[in-house]
Amino acid sequence: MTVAALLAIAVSGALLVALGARDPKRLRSSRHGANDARAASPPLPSAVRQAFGWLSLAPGIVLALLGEWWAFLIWLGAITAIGWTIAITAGYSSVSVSHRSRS
Amino acid sequence: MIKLPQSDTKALLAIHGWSGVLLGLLLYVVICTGVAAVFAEEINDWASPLPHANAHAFPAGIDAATRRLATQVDPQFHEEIAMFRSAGGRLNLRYHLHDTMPNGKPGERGVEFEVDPATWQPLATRKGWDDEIADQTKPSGVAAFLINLHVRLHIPEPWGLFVTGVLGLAMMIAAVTGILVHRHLLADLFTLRLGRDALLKRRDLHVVAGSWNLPFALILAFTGSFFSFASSVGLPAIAMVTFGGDQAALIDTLYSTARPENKAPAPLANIEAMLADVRHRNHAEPNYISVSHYGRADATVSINTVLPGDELVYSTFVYDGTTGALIREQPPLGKVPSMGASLVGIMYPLHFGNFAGLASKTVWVALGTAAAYVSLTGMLLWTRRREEQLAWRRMSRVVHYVGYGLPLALVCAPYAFFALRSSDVPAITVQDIAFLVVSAAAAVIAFAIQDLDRLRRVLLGCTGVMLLGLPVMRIATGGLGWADAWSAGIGAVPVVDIALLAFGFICLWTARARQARVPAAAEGPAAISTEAHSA
Repeated sequence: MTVAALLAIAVSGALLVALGARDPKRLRSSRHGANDARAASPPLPSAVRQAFGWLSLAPGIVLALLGEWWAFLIWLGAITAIGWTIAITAGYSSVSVSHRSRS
Repeated sequence: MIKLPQSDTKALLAIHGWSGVLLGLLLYVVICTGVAAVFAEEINDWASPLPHANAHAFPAGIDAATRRLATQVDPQFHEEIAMFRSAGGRLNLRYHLHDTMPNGKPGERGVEFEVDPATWQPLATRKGWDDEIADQTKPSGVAAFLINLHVRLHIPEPWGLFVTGVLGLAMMIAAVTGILVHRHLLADLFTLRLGRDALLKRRDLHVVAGSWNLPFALILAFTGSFFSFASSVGLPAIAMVTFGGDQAALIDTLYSTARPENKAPAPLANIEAMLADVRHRNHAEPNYISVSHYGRADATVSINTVLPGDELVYSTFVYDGTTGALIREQPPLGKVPSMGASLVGIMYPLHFGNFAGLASKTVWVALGTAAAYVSLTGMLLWTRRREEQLAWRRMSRVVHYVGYGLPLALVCAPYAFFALRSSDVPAITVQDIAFLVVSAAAAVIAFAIQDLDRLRRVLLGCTGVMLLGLPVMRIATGGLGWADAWSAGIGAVPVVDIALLAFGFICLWTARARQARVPAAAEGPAAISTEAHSA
């Protein structure tokens, strides 16, 4: 069960990293005031974002459907903590990229 | 995206804000103490370790110790024996009877022995009613202070539970209205505009933390309200409807493990054999034993374990006390499994986060910290946007005082515990006094320092210094050193010390940075445009 939970966290976490790193709104915000257009990666296309978003929830849905509530809770707690961490990390890295571009 | 008429959005925004600010300050206290209380066991092991680690709560010798200690108490206290692990791996054995307290309410009265299970030597003996025994219990004082503040805000029962139950409901209201108000919830999950103006930065940090924390906030708020209202409202209400107000009869029906009465004397079966049977059946370590009617033919032994690896709902293993045979595996509610019993059972791991050991506790603490952060930043945003009004300006100062003064007072309370642990004053009382004294001092500081950012930095700086000093205080008052603790296998001591030092440095580092100040007048239009943008 621990393996199933870790696997679910790994899959969702990887998708969240991609979503956070290539989030269009965040990238648009970080480009604001930056002189260098190459300062950040291009955003993910909308369809890909939506697919990644649903896929990131899929491991949790599978665990719930299988009735593996223990693993589901671990997954839910972990991805919310990971998501918050990614949002903050990506946000601050955008600031530093933006500052570097301006200087 | 949820589309609502503008008037509804404004009304929801008002409910979201007012419910947050009015009850937010108390809620913040409940959340902060709850975050710390997740690690109650580790905190107690850190504050009051024995010189050696005890791997099992009930090692070999428990059976003989139970019988030996039974001879040292009045036989009337053989009605029930509760055995459980306490701070530092101590073992508490409480021999007691169910009686009516002087105030007319049902209670428990008896004798509690605190023993070291490695040597079976008694460390302390306490007598009296439950509350009196709790007052005499020193080793678990630090966590008890935090839990008391978290559960009932030190308000007498049942009012404290009412208040914390209402706070849980307020947290749910804030979360639900937050979802409805923030119409770009999913689109803004990664949006942090940190490099632009200060207001946007604060708002985005609040929204992002709140958005990611939503499932957890709802779970904690619901389960917290459940625990507060279950015993203070639910139980009396159900007893009124179904048992003519007789709560004891209701509790018997829901939780009793008793067998038909038989007062004939009979020796108790071997407890260690029953413990071995539970370990074999449940693949988990027992953490609570209750012996009813010790020495009688109708004796029962109930044993609980920590949650097995992949379970969320605990069971109680009920044994015939005279033969040692398993009678049944009892669910958390009633005598046979049911959906209601499972739902009640799942409330515990959902609220305490203890279902997967340190890993789940760590995640629960991280998300609890996010909840505290969302609560504080929400109140700061709300009050600072209205700083042009005198009342809100004063409220903003109060929010700063509580937001940054509370952690300082919480950190200072254990100093009193360590300094006075050998005195006769109850551990919770000395920490209460220290907490109130530091709170009063912080209030003076909050009144004296006009600049709110400077106030924040001063209180954070003081918290950092006190965090750094706590391990020193612990060791200076006779606590185990790192080398001794490590060689004895007591990991909690160095780990908690290091965590305190790390948080101390983080507080000092955060206190260094001056926050960009945005004049209230400038915040208003920006805030409105931000909300309009979100809507």
